Amino acid sequence: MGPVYSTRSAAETADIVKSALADRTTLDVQGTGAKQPLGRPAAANAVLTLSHMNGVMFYEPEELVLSVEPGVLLDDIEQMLSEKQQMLAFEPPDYSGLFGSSGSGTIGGAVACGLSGPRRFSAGAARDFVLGVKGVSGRGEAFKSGGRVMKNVTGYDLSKLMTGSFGTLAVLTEVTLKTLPRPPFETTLLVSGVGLERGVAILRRMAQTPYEPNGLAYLPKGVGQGACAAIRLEGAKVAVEERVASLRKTLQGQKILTLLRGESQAFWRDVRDVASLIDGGSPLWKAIVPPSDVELFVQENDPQAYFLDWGGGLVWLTMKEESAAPSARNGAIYLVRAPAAMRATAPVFPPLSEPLRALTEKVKNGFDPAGILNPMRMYSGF
Amino acid sequence: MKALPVEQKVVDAADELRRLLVECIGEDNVVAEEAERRAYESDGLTAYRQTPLLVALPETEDDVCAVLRLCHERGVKVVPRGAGTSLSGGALPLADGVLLGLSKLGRIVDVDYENRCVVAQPGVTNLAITHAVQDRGFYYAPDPSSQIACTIGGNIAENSGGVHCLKYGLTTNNLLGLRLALMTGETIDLGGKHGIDGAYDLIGVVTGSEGLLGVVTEATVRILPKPETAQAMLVGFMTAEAAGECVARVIGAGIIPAGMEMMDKLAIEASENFARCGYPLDVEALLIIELDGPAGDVTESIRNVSNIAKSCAAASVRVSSCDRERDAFWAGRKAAFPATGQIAPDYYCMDGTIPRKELPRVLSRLSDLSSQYGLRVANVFHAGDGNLHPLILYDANNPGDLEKAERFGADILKFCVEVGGVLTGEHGVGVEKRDLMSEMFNETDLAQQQRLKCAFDPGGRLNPGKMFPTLHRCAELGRVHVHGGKLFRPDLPRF
Ligand SMILES: Cc1cc2nc3c(=O)[nH]c(=O)nc-3n(C[C@H](O)[C@H](O)[C@H](O)COP(=O)(O)OP(=O)(O)OC[C@H]3O[C@@H](n4cnc5c(N)ncnc54)[C@H](O)[C@@H]3O)c2cc1C
Repeated sequence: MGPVYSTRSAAETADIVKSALADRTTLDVQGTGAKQPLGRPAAANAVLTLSHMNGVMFYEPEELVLSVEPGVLLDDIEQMLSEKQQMLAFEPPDYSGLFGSSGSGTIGGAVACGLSGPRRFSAGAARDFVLGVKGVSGRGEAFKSGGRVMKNVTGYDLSKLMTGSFGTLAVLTEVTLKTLPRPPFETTLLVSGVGLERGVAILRRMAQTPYEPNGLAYLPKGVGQGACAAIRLEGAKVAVEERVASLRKTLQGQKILTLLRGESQAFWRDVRDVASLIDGGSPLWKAIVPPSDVELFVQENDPQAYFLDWGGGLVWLTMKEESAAPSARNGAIYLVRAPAAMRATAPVFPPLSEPLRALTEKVKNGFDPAGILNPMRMYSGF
Repeated sequence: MKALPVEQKVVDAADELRRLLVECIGEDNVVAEEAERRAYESDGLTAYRQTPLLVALPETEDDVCAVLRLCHERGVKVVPRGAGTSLSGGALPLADGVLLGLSKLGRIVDVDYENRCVVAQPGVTNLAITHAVQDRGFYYAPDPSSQIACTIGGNIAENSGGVHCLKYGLTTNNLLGLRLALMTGETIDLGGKHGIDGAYDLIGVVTGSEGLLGVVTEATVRILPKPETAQAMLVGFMTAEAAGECVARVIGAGIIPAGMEMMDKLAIEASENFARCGYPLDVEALLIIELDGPAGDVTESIRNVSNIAKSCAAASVRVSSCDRERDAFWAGRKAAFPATGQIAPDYYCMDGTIPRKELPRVLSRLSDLSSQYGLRVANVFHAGDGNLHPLILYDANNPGDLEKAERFGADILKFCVEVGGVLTGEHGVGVEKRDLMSEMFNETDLAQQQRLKCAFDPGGRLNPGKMFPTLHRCAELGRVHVHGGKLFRPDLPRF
């Protein structure tokens, strides 16, 4: 694995990257390493860890803004925000169960991997909550983009570009995030005993109602609670109860289970963290598809096990044959968990069209011309 | 603002370029007559004018690509334009460039309720999207005040917002996919009905890029079911501080209204005078707070907000009882710009964003600057998200007034940056704020942004002269400066 370098400041990070640039050392950029198994293995000969760069710059709940260094633990952020009845609305997942790592990792890792939980289809993705970033490019230069305010079109939005770029463009040294109030009350309705077709129809109908569901999942028989469509409602208690009553009317004739706060939270945490597909160790895939295609997608790929999130826009699946990859007519497919050897050869990120690949490579070169930051982590070749 | 040097050989070859353009997209779609070209000389920032060399009005995506390819081959600059309502001069033409008008690509390609999205060509107006889906109870959330005119392509290029973006986000938060034509005429697809996907978030980068990276030829936007109920409140205060305090406490109480707008006395008077919407004239500041969502939630929030308003010494609180009254509450705010145009010959609209808590400081600074420059200023303010629109009143017929207004505006924006805010919240940098970019960014920050531009448009032919104070050659930006063979730091701690 080579030497491990630890940084405590942006200046020190710039120094390390500059020296690496000088002697062509390639860096595997990490927080606590919780998401190392995600993406392709970086072809690097040294490790740069940011887990000791973990200061909170500021947290102003009434301004809905939090600014932190990348090494702050997600768990600590969750704790800090919940004390003020707030949250990261994109629900960054905890893949420690999935990857057998020791914790949920750092905020830097969460932003770099750009992962979003069940609220994705209603509240937005990680990228929608990153207001500003500071980073060190592969040129060893410290730069910033965005800011701390909610509305900002001053210059290109590099904050979004950094989000989900897996550390291949720059080492993040500070991220500023938008926080949101945590709704005081939540309830989940489980419509049970429904097959895929019926389940998807329910999700679709719910997405069209004005009841503002912000969690819509379907679990088939044998997965988690099994054969049920789940609908999460959040808000003020009386208001949620009113919406529950209305929805029950819409769903008349169905068998409905109600999950109250703690149960509901646990249910969606499991959905977020893919808890029901952890066991077995076979390669785990994730497909983002137009919700209208999801039934066809499942039928055509005939998975070993699967479940749906994001109102049917996200399918988690394992295949019957370990070496098989799912395919979609429309959408994007990711390999989420697999042995390193498979991740080094199979397409881990959705393949790019030729002009898009050329452009992607040029974007990478603009930030990291020598290819020293997480080489090959996303694509073979750069 | 300093204009780019004009490339005389391009100007001299205008006839030939016209002929080639006509070959590409037909006689009817090329505007060469000087008088007709002049119709495109400015956008919503009318202080700047420049007649374009030629105007191309493609009808299809293939036409767009053909024009781009031709200009690319001949090294001719291209300025994309939607409806020309930009307030920052983003669509200001070039004397040696082709203005690429996208208004003829005005078709809604697909309305897809199942996937809650609309696929539209770039020239479709913002409001037309909502119109296409409202019968089925849906709408497109971002609602700039210019929505009857401005195009979705322009909205994407400027990352436009509206009064409802506090809850529903800006354009960037409501996009699922894009088709982009690069300067070479090649097209790329980003995201789609399934949403923004893997790879780098180029949708995020293109949104707000002011036509510098590529030409949007198709957009897939998210539509939402109309909220079950929406109610607005009109709350008057005797001081702007009290109004600001109320905004902070509403959000502090965990309530995110659909919109939360503030107007100061001058803006209230101008709007009331213009729209006769029943605004109280005896208050210093007015908040319009809209709550929407399921009926029970709205009732609950209205009650909470009313209590908060009272605890902040509100002088008056009105709650809309029907949609007509709600529309009336908004009518004045939505007409604030034209209303201001009635109380002064000219106005200059600013667009800084600040951390909300800095509002009192910024307002008092504004009033100092107003006395110093001897120009009045009316304030409308997207209070919920800290986006200020001071409208500086002036008279362009008074020699020196425009320059004074511009200096005043620049001082406001510099102060926004000083208190932790930014130069522009939704109107874009364009030519207007180009030279202020260094207030917010240092050389390295700007160089890094320009390297992104180089990835998309290495020749720098697409909308040059906007956004960046100095243009560097891509080759120069691409150089890596390594301090000769310095060793990788052996002194750093290892684990
Ligand atoms: C009265 C008034 C009120 C306004 N209110 C608001 C408001 O509430 N909120 C807000 O955010 N803005 C507002 N604006 C500003 C303006 O309407 C927006 O910026 C709008 O998005 C511009 O759209 P447009 O079609 O007019 O674009 P244009 O002005 O034609 O162009 C704007 C920019 O987009 C680029 N462009 C246009 N089309 C494309 C394309 N297809 N591909 C690539 N680049 C393209 C141009 O090169 C230019 O840089 C207002 C303007 C006016 C005049």
